[in-house]
Amino acid sequence: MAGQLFFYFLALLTVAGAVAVVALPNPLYSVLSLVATFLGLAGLYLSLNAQFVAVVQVIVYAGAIMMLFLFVVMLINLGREERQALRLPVQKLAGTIIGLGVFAGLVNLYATTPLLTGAKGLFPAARLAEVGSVQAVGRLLVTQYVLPFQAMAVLLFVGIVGAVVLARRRAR
Amino acid sequence: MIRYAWLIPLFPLAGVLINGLLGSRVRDKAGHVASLMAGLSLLVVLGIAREMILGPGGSHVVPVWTWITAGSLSVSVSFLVDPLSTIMLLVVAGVGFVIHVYSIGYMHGDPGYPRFFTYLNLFMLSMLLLVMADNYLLMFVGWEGVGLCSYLLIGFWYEKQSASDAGKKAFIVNRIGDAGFLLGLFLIWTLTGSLSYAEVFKAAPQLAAPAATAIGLLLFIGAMGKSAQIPLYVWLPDAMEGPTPVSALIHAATMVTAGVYMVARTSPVYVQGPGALEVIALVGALTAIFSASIGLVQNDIKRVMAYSTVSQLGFMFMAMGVGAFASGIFHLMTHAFFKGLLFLGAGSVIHALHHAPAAQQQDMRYMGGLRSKMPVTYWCLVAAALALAGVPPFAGFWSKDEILAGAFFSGHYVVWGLGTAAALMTAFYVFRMIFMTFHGEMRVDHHAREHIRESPAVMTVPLVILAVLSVVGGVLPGFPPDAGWIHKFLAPSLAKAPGHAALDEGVRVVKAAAQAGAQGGGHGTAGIALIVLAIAVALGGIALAWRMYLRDTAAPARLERRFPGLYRLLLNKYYVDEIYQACIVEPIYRLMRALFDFDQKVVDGAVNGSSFLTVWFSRISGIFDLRTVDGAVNGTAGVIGFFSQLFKFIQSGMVQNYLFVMLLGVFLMVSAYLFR
Amino acid sequence: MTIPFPQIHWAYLLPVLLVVGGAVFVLMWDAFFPQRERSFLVTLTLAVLASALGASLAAQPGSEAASMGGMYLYDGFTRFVFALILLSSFFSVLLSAAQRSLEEVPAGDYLGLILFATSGMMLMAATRSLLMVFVGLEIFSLALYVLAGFLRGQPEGNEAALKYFLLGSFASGFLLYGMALIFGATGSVDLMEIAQRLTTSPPSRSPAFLLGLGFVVVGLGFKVAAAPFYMWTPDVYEGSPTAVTAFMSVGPKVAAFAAFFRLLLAVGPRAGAELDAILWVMAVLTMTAGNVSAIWQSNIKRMLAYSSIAHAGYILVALAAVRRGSDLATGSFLFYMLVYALMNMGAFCVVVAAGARGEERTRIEDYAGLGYTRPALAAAMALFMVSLAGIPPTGGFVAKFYLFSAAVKVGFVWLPVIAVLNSVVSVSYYLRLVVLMYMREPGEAPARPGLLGPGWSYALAALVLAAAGVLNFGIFPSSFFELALRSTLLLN
Repeated sequence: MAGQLFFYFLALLTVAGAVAVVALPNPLYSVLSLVATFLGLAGLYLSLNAQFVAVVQVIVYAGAIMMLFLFVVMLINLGREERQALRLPVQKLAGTIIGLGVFAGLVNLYATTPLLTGAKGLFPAARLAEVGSVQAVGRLLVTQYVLPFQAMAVLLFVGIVGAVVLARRRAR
Repeated sequence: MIRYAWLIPLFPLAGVLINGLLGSRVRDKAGHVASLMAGLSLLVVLGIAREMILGPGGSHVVPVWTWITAGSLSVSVSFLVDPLSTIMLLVVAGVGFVIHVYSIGYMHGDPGYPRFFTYLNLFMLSMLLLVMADNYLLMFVGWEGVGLCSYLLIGFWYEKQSASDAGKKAFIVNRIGDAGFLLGLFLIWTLTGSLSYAEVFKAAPQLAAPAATAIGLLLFIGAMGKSAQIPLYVWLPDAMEGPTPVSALIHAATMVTAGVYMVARTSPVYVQGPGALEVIALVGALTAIFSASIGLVQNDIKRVMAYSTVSQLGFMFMAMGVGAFASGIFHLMTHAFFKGLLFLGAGSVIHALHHAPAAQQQDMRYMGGLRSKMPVTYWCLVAAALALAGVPPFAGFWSKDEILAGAFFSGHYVVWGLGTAAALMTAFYVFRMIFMTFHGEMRVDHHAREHIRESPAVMTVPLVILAVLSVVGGVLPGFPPDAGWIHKFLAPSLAKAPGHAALDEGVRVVKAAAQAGAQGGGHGTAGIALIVLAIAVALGGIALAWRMYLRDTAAPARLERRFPGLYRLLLNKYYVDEIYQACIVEPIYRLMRALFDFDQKVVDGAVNGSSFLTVWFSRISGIFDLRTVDGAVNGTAGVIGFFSQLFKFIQSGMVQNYLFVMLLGVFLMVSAYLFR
Repeated sequence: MTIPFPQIHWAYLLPVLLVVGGAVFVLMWDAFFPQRERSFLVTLTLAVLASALGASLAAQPGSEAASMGGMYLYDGFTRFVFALILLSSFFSVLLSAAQRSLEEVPAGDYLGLILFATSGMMLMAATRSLLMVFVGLEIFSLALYVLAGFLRGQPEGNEAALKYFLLGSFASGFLLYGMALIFGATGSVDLMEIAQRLTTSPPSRSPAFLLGLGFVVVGLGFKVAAAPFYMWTPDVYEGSPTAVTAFMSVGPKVAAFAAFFRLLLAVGPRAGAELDAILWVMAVLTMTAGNVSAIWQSNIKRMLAYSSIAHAGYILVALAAVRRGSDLATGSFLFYMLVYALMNMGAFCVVVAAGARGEERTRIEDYAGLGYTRPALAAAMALFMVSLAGIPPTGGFVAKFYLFSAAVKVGFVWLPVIAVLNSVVSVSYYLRLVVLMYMREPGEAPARPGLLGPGWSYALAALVLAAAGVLNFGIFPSSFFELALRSTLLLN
C-alpha cells in the first residue's frame, strides 16, 4: 500500500513537472520543473530496485545537465518568453482532438492488457539484491551489452563533435 | 541465316553509338552511316525472309542471353523468327531503309542532322526489338523505346512551340496506353506464370473466358494508345509536327502498327476471350469512320494523311476484332507501303514549297497545279492514292476488301457497314487531296513559284520504290483474293494454338467465299457482290471528289453553306481536343498547379542575432510561431480549392504542421489496432 | 569474481571497426595537422571505406553469425547491406570532394562525421537487437543533423538542420516508446527471442506488442520517409548541401529499411493482419504523395526528394510482401537498393557537377540546354532519369520488375497495380528534365564554369561508376540478383 502511494506520488510529480516545462512562460521555471521531473523519475527507478540508475539519473541529469541549462538561461538572460498570438487555430483544435484520441487509445490499452511485470528478465528483484545493482550493471556492460556500450561511446563522441562543429562555425 | 537474327538490331545500335557519340565528328556523314546500318539490317532480314519463305518456315528462337530470373520466372533476351515476325521485319526494315535514304535529302542542312539520324536509328533498334522479341517483357522494351523515339522525334524541332506541345501530348496519351499494357503483362504473368510467347500460348487454352477477356482488354488499352484508336487517337494528328520522314516511318508505316502486331501476336489469348475481340472490332470500325469523316474537310496535307492513318489503323483493328488476323497483318503491310509513300510524297511537295510562307507550306488551299512541275511525285502519289482508295489491282484493294469480307462473313454487319462507309470517305478525301494539290490552277505564293522543282533523286528514288510496292504489294501475296499466299504463310503464327476456332472460322469463311465464288455458290455470290461493291465504293468516292474539286469547284463552298454546323464540326475534329481539354486536362492541370502552390514553402525573414544561442532560440520560436501560410489561393473552385487548401495547410514548411500530420498518422495506426 | 569476456569474431566486426577507427583518425589528423589540401583526407576517407568494403566482402558469414548475444549479427543480409551503405558513403565522399561550395568547410570534421554516420548505419543494420537498432539510428541521425547544416551562412541549411533535428527527435521518441512497449509485452529486445515468445503466446492477445510494433513502424517510417511521416524530406533535402542530401537519400534509407526488414522477417508473419493494412496504406500513400508532388517541382533537389519518397513507397511494397513471408521480396529489396543507390547518387552527382563556385544549379530551369553546353553530363543525367523512371534497359526497370513481381507472387493484386500506375506517372517528371536538357536552348546560362573545378576527377569517377552500374544492372542483372537472393538465406 505504501509502495503504491509512493508510486502515485512520484508519477504525479513526474507528469506535473513535464507539463510545467511546456506550460510555464519563464524559461527558468521550465528548467526547474524539468529537474522535478528527473527527480520523480529517479524515485521511480528506486522503486524498481534500480538504485544505480536512480543515482545516475540524479547526478547526471538533475545535477550536471540541468545545472548547465540553468547557467545558459541565466547567462543570456532570457526573460519571459514573448508570446506571439498563435495563429494556428485549426491545428490547435485538431491537434488537441488527435492528441486526446491517441491518449484515449493508450489508456484503453493499459486498462485492458496485462503487461509483463517484474520477474521476467534476466535479473529479477531477488537476484538483483544478491548481486547488487551496480555490480550487475557493470557486469552486463562488459559482457552482454559490450557492443551497445561501445556504440554509446561513439554516439556521445559524435554528439561532442557535432556541438564543437556548430559552435566553431558560429565563432568564426 | 536465321541464327544470325541478333545481327538485325545490332546494326542500328552501332549506328546509334556512332552518331550519338561522334555526332560532331561525323556531321554530314551521319545520314549515310545511319542508312548504311539500316541497309545492313535489311540485308540480314532479306536473307532470313528468303530462308523462311522458300524453306520450311516454322518458328525459331534465337537466344542471346538470360536477362531476368526471379524464382520460377525467367526472361531472356532472345529473338523469335516466325512467319509473323518475318513479315513485320520485312516491313520495318524495308520501309525503314527507304525512309532513311529519303531523309538524307529531306533533312539536308538541318542543324540537328546527326541528332535526327541518331533518333531514327534508335527507333529502328526499338522497333526491331519489338517485333523480334520472343516474350512480352522484351516486347515492352521495344514498346517503350519506340514511344520514347516518337516523343523525341515529334518534338525534334523543339523551337516550335506547337512541336513540343505535340510531343508532350503524344507522351501523355501514350502513358495511359502503356499503363494498360503493363497491367496486361502483370495479369498474363499472374495467370500463366510466364511471359514468353511459347509458354503463355501453351497455357492460353486453360484460361477462363473472363480472364482472357481482361488480358485482352488491358493489352488493347496499350494498343489504343500506340495505334491511335478512339479515344486515345488524339496525339497522332498532332504528331505531324515532326519532320515528314518521321511521320512516314513512325506515324504511318511502323510504330503505330505496333498495337496491331501485338494483338495479332496475342491472338491465341484473344480467341479465348471473345468479348475483347468484339470490343476491338467495334472500336476499330468507329475509329475508321470517325477519323475518315474528319479527313474529308481538313486542309493541311499532312493532317489529311494523319486522319487517314488513324482510319486505316481502325480497319486493321476491325480485322483483328472479327478474327481475320492474317488479313489485318496483310493490310498492315500494304498500308505501310502506300501510306509511307503518301507521306514521303507530301514531304516532297512540302520540300518543294519551302520558299512559301510557313503557314502555306502544308495548306492545300495554297497549292494546286503542281502536276507539271513535279511529275515523279505526282505519279507516285496517284499510285498510292489508288491503293488507299482501294482500286484494283493496287495493293490496298486486296487487303481492305479482305477485311470487309471478313467482317461481313463473320456476321459483324454493323462493323462491315461502318467500314464500307469509311472506305467511301477514304476514296473521296485522298483524291480530294490529289486534286487540290496537283490539279486545277496554281494557287502557290508568287515568290515561291519559281523555286518549285522536282525533288532530288535521293528523295524520288525511294518514292518510286514504294510506288512499285504499292502497285504489286497486294497482288503478289494476295492473289487469288482472300486466299493468297500470305494467309498460308502466316497461318502457323496465328492459328497454331489449339482452340483457335474464331480465327480459323474467319479465314475459312473468307476462303470459302472465294472458292464458292468461283463455283457460283451462295456465299460466293455474296463474295462477288462484296468485291463489286468495294470497287464501286472506291470509284464512287473518286468520282465525287473529281466532281466537287475539279468540275464544279463551287460545290464545296455550297455544301459548306448548306450544312454549316456539320462542316464546322468536322473541321474542328468533333471538338474532341477541346472536350478533353475542358474535362480532363484542365482539372488535372489545376490540381497539379494547386499541389505545386502548397509546396512553395515560406522562407521566413532574415535571422539576426549576435550569439549562437539566441540565433537558435529565435529560429525555434520563428519556426513555431512566425510562419504563416502564404497568400490565399485564388480562383480555384470546388474540389480543387478544397484540396489546395488542405495541401497548402500541411506542406507549409511549418514544423507544427509536419508534426501534426505525423501525429495524425500515429492516431490512425493506433485506431487500426484498437478499434479493429 | 571472474567476468567472462564475450566471444567476439573480429573478422566480422572489422568493417565497423575500420570505419569508426577511420573516423577518429581523420578527425585527429585534421586537428593535429591542419592543411589546406583536402585531397589527402578525401583519399584517406575513400581508402577507409574501400578497405571496410573489402573486409566485409572478405568475411564469409558462417555459423557464428550472431555474436555478443545477438547484438551483432553478421549474415549474408548484413554483408550485402554493408556493401550498400559503404557504397553510398563512398559516393557521397566523392560528391563532397567535387562540390565547390564545400571546399571551404573543415574537411576533417566533415569527413569524420560522414564516417561516423556510416558506422551508425552499419550497426543499425547488423543486429538482432532493438537496442542496437536505436543506438545505431541515433549515431547516424546525430551526425546527419550536423551535416545538414554544415554550410555556414545559409539560412536554408540551418532551417534544414533544425527541422530535421526536431522532427527526428519526435520520431525517435516514438521508436523508443515502441521498443519499450515491445519489451514490456515480450520481455526481450532480441528479435529472435521476441519471435519465439510470439509463437508461444500469440500477439493477438497483446495489444501492447502490436502498438509497440506500430510505434516502431512510425519511427522507422520517419527515417525512410514514408507517408505520412515524410513531410520533413523536401525541406531538409533542399536545404542541405547537395552531397549530404545524396547521402541522406540513400544511406539512412538502406539502414532503416534493413532494420525494418529484419523486424518484419522476425515478427511479421505473426503480427496480425492489421500490419498488412498499415503497410499497404503506407506504401500507397507514400508512392502517390511522392510522385504527385514531384511533378510540379521547380527545384531539382526537391524533385529528387519527392522522387526518393516515391521510391521508398515502392520498397514498402516489398516490405508488405516480406510480412507475408517472401524471400523474393527481401532479395528484390536488396537489388532495388543497389540500383537505387547508383542512380540516385548519379543524379545528385550531376547536380553537383553542374554547379559552379558559389552558385549551385538547383532550379530545374537551370538545366535547359545542358545537352548542348555539357553533353556528357546531360547524357549521364538522362540515363539516371530514365533509370529512375523505370524504363528499360536500365537497372531501374529491372529492379522495379523484381520488386513488383515479388508482391504479385505473394498474392497482392492492387498494390502492384497501383505501383505500376505510379511509376507510369513518375515518368512525366523524370523525362521533363531530359526534355529540358535536350529540347530547350540554354537560357542565359551562367557563364560556362571552367569545366568542373578542382574536384572534377571525383565527380567523373562517381559518374562513370554510377552510369556503368545502372547500365550493367539493366542489361545483365541476373548474377547480382542471384547474389541478392542468396544473401537472404542466412537470415534467422
